[in-house]
Amino acid sequence: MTPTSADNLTPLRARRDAWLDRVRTLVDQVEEWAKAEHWVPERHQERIQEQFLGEYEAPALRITVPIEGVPDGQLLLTPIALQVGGEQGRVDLRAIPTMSRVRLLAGPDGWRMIAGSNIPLRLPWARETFVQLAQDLLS
Amino acid sequence: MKQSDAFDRFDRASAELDATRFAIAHVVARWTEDPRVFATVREARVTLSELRRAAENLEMTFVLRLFSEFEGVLRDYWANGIGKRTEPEMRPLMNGIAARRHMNAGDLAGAHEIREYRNEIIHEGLRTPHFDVPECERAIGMYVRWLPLQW
Repeated sequence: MTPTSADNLTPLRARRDAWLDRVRTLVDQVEEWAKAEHWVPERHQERIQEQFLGEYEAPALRITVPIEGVPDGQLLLTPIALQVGGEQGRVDLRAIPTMSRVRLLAGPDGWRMIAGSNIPLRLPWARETFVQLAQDLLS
Repeated sequence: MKQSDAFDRFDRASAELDATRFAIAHVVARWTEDPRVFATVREARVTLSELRRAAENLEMTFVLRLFSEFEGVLRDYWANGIGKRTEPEMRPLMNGIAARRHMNAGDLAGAHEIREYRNEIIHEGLRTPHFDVPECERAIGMYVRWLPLQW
């Protein structure tokens, strides 16, 4: 029997929903870590357009980090896409004004961090790592 | 315009650089291995040495793109944020905005270094990069942080 188009869409929707759950959990986690540092996180929705998945919204975070004597720094946690070659989704963490960035790639064992020029940061994704990373990205 | 729109512009340009770098490297690496790649590129009348040269000069080409985005942001602020009708050259434009925004000297000097670097690429045919892309992005970002959040 030929599957209907609705049948074809179901696994894709399930993957997208699982990805959105993962992003939501990440955003919740980072929001909590930021608050613990007395930084100011603000949530918003990012619109993402992907082939076969269509257009959808995913949670994102903008974190204001006060820096003495100069305008505040900001950290942007932005979901980019689920369909990233060989990975299970990508979220970028970038800093303003330094424009430094790290990619978070979702895999079966959690989030992996990739710095510029595809250099993996072999550290566990945990609060201490995030705080250190945030400070390094902003400095 | 919002300051965050300016940073988004720089970030999009940077993502395009990553994509272009990947695409060129992919084609060059498969040029000899995959006959379909060879045939497709040959149809486009592009040579392997041109592709290699494009890869070598990609970062400097990107600096020009990034700087033109930066210039666009400053000119928008000059016209719509301050209400000026003049069109100064880039150096006085950068100095004028820096003075109005009480910018620190280090951030202004850093952005001027990138302006001079861009001039060397354009006017002196520079072929050896003096700054890498993250250094250029950072210097421009450190300048733009002094602009208002919205104008």
